[in-house]
Amino acid sequence: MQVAQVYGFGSYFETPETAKDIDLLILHESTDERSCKFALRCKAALLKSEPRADIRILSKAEEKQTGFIATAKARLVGTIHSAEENSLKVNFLLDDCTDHT
Amino acid sequence: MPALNDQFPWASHYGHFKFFEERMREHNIVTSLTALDNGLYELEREHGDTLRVFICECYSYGVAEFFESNEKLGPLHAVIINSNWCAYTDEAKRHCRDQEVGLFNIGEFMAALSMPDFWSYLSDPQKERFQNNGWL
Repeated sequence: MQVAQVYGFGSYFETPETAKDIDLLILHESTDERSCKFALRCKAALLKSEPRADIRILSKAEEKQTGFIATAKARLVGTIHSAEENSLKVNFLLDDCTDHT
Repeated sequence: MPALNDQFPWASHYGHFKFFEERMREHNIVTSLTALDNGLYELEREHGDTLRVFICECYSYGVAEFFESNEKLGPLHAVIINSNWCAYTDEAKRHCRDQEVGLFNIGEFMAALSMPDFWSYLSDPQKERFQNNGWL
């Protein structure tokens, strides 16, 4: 099973009533092909459930290099699990949905 | 200034890549440049080779975005990050370089183009970081 963390940052998490989009970061395990393709599937699933999402993807090593989470003051808002081979389980702190992609 | 499109192909905020096209056409090693779709170009060099070059304005171009680019465009010889507001990660640079694919901003690509192994070009700060990481 693979897991990715979803972080939120930007205006939506400060003033959601006026924000035009929802900035999210998918933090995935590594830069190998399996992890990257899992992150891309996570992105597609998030966009399907929230078209306003503006999504960036970083592996843990890339996040460490860029310091993105600290710089953007991003906070953890959810996780995504590959529950089965062809499905993703998306768990948000406020929402819970399963997306079959 | 934000990039116009946060999804592939991370299109230009201004709707064109004229600055890139002008820089390429004035480069003495470039013999022709042909625009295809979705930020993809065919660039011919004096060396006699033809490079498939993808240019985009992705805020943070990482390894996952490179996989996405390859999935949607097929094999590439170079990826160019166009805007000063956008960047690529060292991990993505390393990953591309290992596959003999260049990952550059326009200035770096200008400097690299004269080299037969253009994909290997590193700026001085990148060389230092790569050495510090044990990647060179």
